[in-house]
Amino acid sequence: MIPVLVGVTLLTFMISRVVVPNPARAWAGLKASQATVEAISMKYHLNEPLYLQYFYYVRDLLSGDWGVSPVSGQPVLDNLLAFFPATLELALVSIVIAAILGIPMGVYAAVHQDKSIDHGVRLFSLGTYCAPPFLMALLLQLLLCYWLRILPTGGRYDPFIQQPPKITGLLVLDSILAGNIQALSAALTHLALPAFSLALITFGLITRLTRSSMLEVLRQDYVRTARSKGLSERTVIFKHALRNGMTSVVTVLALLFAFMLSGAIVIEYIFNWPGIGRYAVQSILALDLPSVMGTTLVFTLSIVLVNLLADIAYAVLDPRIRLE
Amino acid sequence: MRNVRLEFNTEEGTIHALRGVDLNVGRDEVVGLVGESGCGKTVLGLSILGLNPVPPAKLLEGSQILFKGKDLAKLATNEFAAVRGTGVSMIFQEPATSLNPVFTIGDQITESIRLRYQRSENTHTPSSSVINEQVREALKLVKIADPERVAHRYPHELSGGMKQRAMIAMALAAKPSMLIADEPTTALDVTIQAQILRLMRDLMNEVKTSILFITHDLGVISEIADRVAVMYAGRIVEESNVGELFKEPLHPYTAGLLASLPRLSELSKEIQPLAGSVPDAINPPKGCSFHPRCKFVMDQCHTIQPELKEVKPGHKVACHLY
Amino acid sequence: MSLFDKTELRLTGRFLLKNKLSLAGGVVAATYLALALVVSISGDHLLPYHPYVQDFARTLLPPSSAHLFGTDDLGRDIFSRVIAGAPLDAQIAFIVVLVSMALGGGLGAFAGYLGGFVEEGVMRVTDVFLAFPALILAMAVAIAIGPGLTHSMMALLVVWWPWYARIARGEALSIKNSQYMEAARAAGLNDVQVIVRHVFPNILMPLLVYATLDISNVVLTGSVLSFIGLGAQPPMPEWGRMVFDGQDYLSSAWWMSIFPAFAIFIVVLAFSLFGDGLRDAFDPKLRRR
Repeated sequence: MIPVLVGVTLLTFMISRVVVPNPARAWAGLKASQATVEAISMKYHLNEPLYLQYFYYVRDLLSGDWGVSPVSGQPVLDNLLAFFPATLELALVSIVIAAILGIPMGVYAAVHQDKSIDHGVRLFSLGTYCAPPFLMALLLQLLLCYWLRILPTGGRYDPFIQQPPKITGLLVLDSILAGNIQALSAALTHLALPAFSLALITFGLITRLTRSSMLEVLRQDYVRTARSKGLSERTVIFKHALRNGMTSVVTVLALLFAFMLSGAIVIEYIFNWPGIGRYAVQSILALDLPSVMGTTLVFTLSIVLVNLLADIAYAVLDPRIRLE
Repeated sequence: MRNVRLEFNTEEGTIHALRGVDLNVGRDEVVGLVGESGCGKTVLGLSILGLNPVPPAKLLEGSQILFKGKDLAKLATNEFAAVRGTGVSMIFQEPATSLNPVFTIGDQITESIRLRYQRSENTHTPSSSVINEQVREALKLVKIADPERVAHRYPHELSGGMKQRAMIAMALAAKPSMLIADEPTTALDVTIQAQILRLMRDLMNEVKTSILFITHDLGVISEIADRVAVMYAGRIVEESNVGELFKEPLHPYTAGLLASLPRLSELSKEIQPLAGSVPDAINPPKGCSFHPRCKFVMDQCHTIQPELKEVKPGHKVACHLY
Repeated sequence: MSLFDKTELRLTGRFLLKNKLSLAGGVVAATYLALALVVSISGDHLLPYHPYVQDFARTLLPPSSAHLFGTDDLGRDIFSRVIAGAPLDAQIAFIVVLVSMALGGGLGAFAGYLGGFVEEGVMRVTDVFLAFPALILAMAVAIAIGPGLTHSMMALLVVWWPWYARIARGEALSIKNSQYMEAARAAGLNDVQVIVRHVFPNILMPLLVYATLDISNVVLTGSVLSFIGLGAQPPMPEWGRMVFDGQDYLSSAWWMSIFPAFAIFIVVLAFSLFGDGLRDAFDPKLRRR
């Protein structure tokens, strides 16, 4: 994992300082004065050899200096930390919804392979996978927010309601902890559509992967043995087969997380959800390079972390791996 | 089993796997089922328990599989579960892939034991300590030296022989009336093979379970079976008790099989393989399916399929020579 | 499995024909490509309205017989713009996939065949690239080199080549020690010659199958890249950008965003279905069933 981390920082470094045609100006801001540009040049040692620059870059990253946004004047890391809980909340709820919908569908489709329900599921999951993330989000927003008006069009907070004290940063949790029903209900109605749209994007992938994993497992000898013991079909599928099928779904959950973060960028922007994704898009539109690089780094690093967690989960689920 | 016929519908054509099998297995008997690969013996074993995947496989009208008064051939797929485990149980050729890799041996045996309790008249569920004791008993039955340790192991941590013993323990834990053993020793090396066979023979004395032992190895049959049925191209062609079959094989195929075995007592003699090859299951030969390879072929062998008849007491054969 | 084996092609063709959904996808994909070709050659002449000319008398009109997809906030006909934008995504997708296949595949083949440090090195590098989600890395590169259609294509290239390197390396590894490779080596060919003359042709097939499936992925990522502001810039009628521009008018003129979004969906779905069918057709296990 360490070489990958080094590689990731190296690549972001290359993009931030080498690929950019004029790094000093990009980091200082397009409207900055010549003096500011030169100050930035000194600060990031842009005139020194590349390997030294990389050293300073990593040192800065580790000490919490991820650059300053030329648009807002705020340190990038501060912005990221401020927006992080919203994205976390969105991602967690989405993945739960997607898993609850997708895994049973995948299992069902595998068990009834080649029958019409299987074809239906395959088509539906392919459809949601192929649909651009903005299509379903915009359609839902149009239908539920503008035409039927049952859900708010965006945002995370209801400005008329008192917010609960911030303990976890996750609004739903904090509302529950504070016993604030109004805030909880507002939080849920605001969370509903973004989370569901994001879930729709990833659910297709979960279904497809669960299905193919289960198909593989159902072909195995031990499934036949389980049947021969006289166990009910339901026990055979949900205890013996699924447990083995889940190991590959877990490795995929990490892949899914990556997919989901990419989708979050679009969803957060459409629903004006104050997370890192929206921050990324706003930074792009403002040509704020430091902020965009900051989001790139935080997204990728969290994915590497999740991959590591998935490896651990994989070892827990499959005893054959534990010996390594 | 009477006139059991089963076919597989595939893209290449219909495979006639079983073409009228008549076979009996009595209580406390070990019946060996012998045949080359592709003769349908595994399919036969699987069809008793309804384990052949049903869309391609189809049991034809007129097939009867009578077990304790019930005709299993008439069961729908979901009705088989009641018979499996406690009525008839099965062990398979590859213990490595037949045991679930993510559960311990103890867990897998416990399942069978719990099932037995569920289906018996007692409605009370035994405590886990009682069950664990029974798991240990089951493992001791198959002569595993350290049952406590093995019960907590995962399949991949055991050797081939141990895995096979564990599978036998698991199959017997539900106390079935009959055990189908499909080539249980084929994947093991020769010394382990001998151990397992000896174990199964000893078990016969302790446990009241009849065994249908499927194999392609005549040597194994002589070790373990009381009676033998020889299968060829989806039908039984000869059936008798073990000694009789080896001394006086009646069917030319059986004779050919025996002649092709090397024997220690006759090392100088040349081995005589059987001429020809296994018949095509999609288009089996008309009449007696062995006729293309038979030294004693006559006119009627080409057109009329011989019936399995008892020509000597306890010795049946399906051949026009008799 | 040679590319030009007649029996292989015949079996593949027959299999594809049996799978109607894939075939439908293939037909739609082919129609799209034909349309893109026609538009890129003929320019704006065949379109009902000019895609760039603004008409403030006709802003935000709903779909009608005069304007099939309605008009946008600058009075431009959306249907014409959608058609005009067809070649844009196709160009990007094909160029990205083909160049990635050539460069990435080539690199991967060398890595797989030569083994040792070369392989280690290339694999480590691809690991790093693949640690980034596609959109996010493309986003980073694109913001660095600036917005614009060609720039977004370059960004996508940077993101896409490692996949092909991985696949090519795997394929090269599996055929490295086969008989005809031994024969080629015995005949005195050096490594480069063996790779070029024998490895490349044999890994071409699996790479092509993957590439067909990949087109839809590139179109999807490319359109999202435009949606977040980094691809084609106005007034270019690139579909992703059109969806972005239409967002502000979603409640009053939904057609601005929804039609281009659907267009992307249909194209991606078509290529996916066709690619799936193609992949199944080349999977020996599935074919014999």
